[in-house]
Amino acid sequence: MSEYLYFPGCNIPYRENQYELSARAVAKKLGVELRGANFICCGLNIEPIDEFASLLFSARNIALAEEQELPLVALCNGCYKTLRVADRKLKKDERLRARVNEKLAEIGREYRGRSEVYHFLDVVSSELKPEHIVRKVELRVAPFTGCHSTRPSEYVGFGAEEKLRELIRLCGAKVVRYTDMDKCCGAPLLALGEELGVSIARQRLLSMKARGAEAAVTMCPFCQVSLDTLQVKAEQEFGERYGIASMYITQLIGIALGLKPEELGLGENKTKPEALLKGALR
Amino acid sequence: MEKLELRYRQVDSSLVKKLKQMPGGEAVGRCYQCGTCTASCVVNAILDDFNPRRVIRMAVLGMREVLESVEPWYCAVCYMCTERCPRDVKPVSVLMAVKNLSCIEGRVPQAFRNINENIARIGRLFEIDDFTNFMREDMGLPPIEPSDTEEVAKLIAGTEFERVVKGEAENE
Ligand code: SF4
Ligand code: SF4
Repeated sequence: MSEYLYFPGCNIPYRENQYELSARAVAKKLGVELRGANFICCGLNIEPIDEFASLLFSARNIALAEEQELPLVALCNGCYKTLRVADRKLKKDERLRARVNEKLAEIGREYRGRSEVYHFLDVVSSELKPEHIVRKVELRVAPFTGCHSTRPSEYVGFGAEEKLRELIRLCGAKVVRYTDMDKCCGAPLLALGEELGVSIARQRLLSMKARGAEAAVTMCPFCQVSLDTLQVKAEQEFGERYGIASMYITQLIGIALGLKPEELGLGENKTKPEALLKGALR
Repeated sequence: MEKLELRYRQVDSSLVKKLKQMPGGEAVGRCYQCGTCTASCVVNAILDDFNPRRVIRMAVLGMREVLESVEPWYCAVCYMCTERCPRDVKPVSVLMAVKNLSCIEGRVPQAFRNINENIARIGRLFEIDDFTNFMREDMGLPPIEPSDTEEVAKLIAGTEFERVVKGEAENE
């Protein structure tokens, strides 16, 4: 039985609770224990303002994992990358660590560099075995890894592209490759203007559609918002139909593990993948 | 003629030195303007006005306009440019350094200020209210506890971040 401290981040509890629900359901099936703690923002949004303050937020969160002597696991690419980069920088740079610890001491905490930051996909990929799969989902699926599970490669990465493809195949689905499959989803631009996010989401959806994908799987709440929530908006705005049912990889795996749609929050997805999934079960 | 002179006055030779001292800006001088960053950029693909190569050029030339401009803030921080830059300039990090310096000497766009005001106040981007927690409970998820705001206040005390969110940065 493996045990992790689960980092929810800001986005998932606010608007993408089905990701956490499906991740917890899959974790339970695989015997992975997810513990909780009172976290603050990972630091991602603070970076453009003050990189040092961003590090303080990351280090404070990692310190909680160290206090519980557990590795940290994130569902969000943005949280994973921010915590991971901070952890790597602080492990390497003693002077930076001293500066950060000077501030952490004021809140009675310390960063020691004794934990490790993981993405949940990495954990699932090592725990899920073919014998767990109880039914096949015969669908043409476009994998969407997003940016921060693979970049910046100097600090992050666990072979997310390959692992995501392998997990899709384990579920019985077919992997569809498409143009620009490693590019940004567009969601980070939402703060500056919805139309920018929608335009980028549309480009990804058009290239998925061009290769005959029926569904997309994501591993990040930002990517899911783009391909799911913004897909509905793009269809309205551009008068087009993409017809890509977008879901979290944990939802697809959950179905293959025999879980019910409501145990995976599938009803929350705007592009309604539930009917498609039901029709594809073998 | 007059126009040229005005532009010249805005040139600040200390800008590039300052950037090189900021985290992320160290390698700005290595840029040889090949444009690979811009060619890889998803934002440039939909928005002519955003051009990372140009921002870096302006910074190297000491043009202080970059610190007042909204342009660097349009970066989606996707790291594609950094993966592909043949000179290992880390363009995304240079833009980050430009933004960090804008917070000290220039201007922060209101949208970014708003986001960070939330984080400074409640420790997170969004407030998880009773309704959301009720919905989570209904789904069988544990509640999200409010964060320790006192701890957050202590953590950011004296940082540049605190100065920006408290509106003490000089410009709007
Ligand atoms: S890719 Fe690198 S060297 Fe080329 S213009 Fe961009 S920052 Fe400069
Ligand atoms: S990190 Fe920013 S500048 Fe670089 S390619 Fe992505 S959006 Fe463009």
